[in-house]
Amino acid sequence: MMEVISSSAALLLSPIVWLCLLAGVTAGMVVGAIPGLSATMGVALLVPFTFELEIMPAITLLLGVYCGAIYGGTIPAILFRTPGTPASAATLIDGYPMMLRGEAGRALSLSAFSALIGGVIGTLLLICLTPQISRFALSFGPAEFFALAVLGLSLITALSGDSLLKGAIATVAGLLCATVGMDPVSGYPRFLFGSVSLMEGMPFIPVLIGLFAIAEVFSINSDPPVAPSEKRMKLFELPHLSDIKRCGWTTVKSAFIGTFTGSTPGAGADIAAFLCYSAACQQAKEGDNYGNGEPKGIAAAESGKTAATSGAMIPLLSLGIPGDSVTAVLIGAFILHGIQPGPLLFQQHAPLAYAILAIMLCAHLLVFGMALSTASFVTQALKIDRRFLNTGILLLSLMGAYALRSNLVDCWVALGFGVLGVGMRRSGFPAAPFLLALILGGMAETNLRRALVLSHGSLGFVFHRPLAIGLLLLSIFFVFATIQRRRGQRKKNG
Amino acid sequence: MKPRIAIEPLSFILALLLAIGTALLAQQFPRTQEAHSGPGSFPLFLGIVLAGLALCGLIQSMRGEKLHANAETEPKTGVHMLLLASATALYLMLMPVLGFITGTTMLCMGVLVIHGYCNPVRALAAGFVAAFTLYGVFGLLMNVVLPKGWIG
Repeated sequence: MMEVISSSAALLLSPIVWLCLLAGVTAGMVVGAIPGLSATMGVALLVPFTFELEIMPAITLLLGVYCGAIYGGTIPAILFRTPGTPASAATLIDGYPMMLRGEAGRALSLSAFSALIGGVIGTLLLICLTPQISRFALSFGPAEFFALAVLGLSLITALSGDSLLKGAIATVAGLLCATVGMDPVSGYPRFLFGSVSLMEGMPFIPVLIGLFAIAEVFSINSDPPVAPSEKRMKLFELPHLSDIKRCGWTTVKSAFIGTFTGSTPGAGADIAAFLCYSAACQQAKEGDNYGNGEPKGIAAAESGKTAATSGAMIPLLSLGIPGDSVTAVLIGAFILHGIQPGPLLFQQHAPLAYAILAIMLCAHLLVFGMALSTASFVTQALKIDRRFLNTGILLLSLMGAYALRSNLVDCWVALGFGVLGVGMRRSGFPAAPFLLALILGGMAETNLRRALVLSHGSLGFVFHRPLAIGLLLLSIFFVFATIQRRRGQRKKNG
Repeated sequence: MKPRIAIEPLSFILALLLAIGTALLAQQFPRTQEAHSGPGSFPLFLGIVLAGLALCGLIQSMRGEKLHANAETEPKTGVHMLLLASATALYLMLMPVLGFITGTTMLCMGVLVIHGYCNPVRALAAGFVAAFTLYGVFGLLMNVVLPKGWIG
């Protein structure tokens, strides 16, 4: 063991590794902050740059981009209501109202702190529980995946704002939107209306850009956002102690949920962020004001999504299967450098495997340091003339949508959903349930139909799977708990 | 409060139309022997659910019941949004013909003017800077294929 530790330390002590980590985190934060450029795209773009590098600096660079990009999306989400990555969409629900109150620095520092806690807990769980969690996640069949999707959808009730009915309509509309494209079972084209570009399904990133970024630009802001005063913003703003105390338990809990979600193949940081946010909303206490700038909302979303990045590494390192799209690209990078991730990784390349785990921890720490030290700088963006800022956001959004596939149809989709987003805002329909339903729709339909085929059309397939029953019962409990809590609140308010 | 009263039933009617349209289209998809696994089964189910929910909402709003929605209550004109959406749509139609830099410069200038920026020369300059910056980042650095068009 001592030999492994000393070999790992030797790998970590190379200066090039730290340079790659710094470069990766910086590049990742920039990529994450630009709407439309996802962590997957950032990692994929940098893979060719790693050809000339050794395996350790190469993986460090890519992991730095991964961790940096997942946090980077939070900055524009809080400052401009424009999530840089899908996972940051949950953060803006409370982050943006905090910014409007002139608490941008507080929101950014809290998000960085929560991301650090989530990342550290996730990585520690990654180190300790890798084989166990992977085995658990691998035991999921179609019935369990369907039940997991239903659980996610049931949590949407907490994101429905004031009207459950409107939340439900937005959810079903999101699920319908997810049916656009090739049927996942038979391959039959559905709702394409002659467009070949939609064969792969409704492009998720342009929808996200449209609903949040373009809708924000198109909406008239009668009250311009409040730029934080010079007195309040420090060069290096630390998270407030009261916020740490208030959000501590939520942060830790979300880190566990995020790690588990991330370790489930197919469920990435975006699903984890919404699940953790919804779970926090479900357990709201008196005085919590989710949706209107509640610090716990930021803590839950940030902790969950960062923990999911570590969670996604669990099946990658222990079984050689990707937890999300970024780790799918990472597998390619491993193989390019002659390393096959999987059960034999810890036996054949133990020093490398442990060095990767250590560098993941360091990446989260570096993201935290960079986020805090640049918080003052990035909030200066709020002082830019709003007309120029809105124009810039619109151009970047359109480019972000276009750059995905170099296809103008994606820009049209973003524009269409931008107009829809404005309409939804004006009529009080929440956008978050629509988005989460769009993410979960494919998973729900594919696995429901697979399970039905396996059970010859009988809905009784659930009763043979105890884990699926447990998840479905949990869903029912969440829905009833939300309805009861809403009734209680309504009675209280008279 | 007037716009909210008008927009709420309208949104439910639109949801109802979407549901009906989906259900009708879903019935045209081929039916396999195992109906539950056909491509139309899930959309049909969702269409029916959406129709039911939209009808509930419509009835409630017709009765004048408050839905406790966090709708924006300020009476705002949609002209601003329409202008921006039209400018963006025009940009998307013209960009393949004019080219990325020309199209983006014009969109940037147009959006600035719509936002109330009165100096067209500065708006044009800002447009050029934005277009060349985006070209540098996306076209040169990331190798995204951008439309060249007639002008460039």
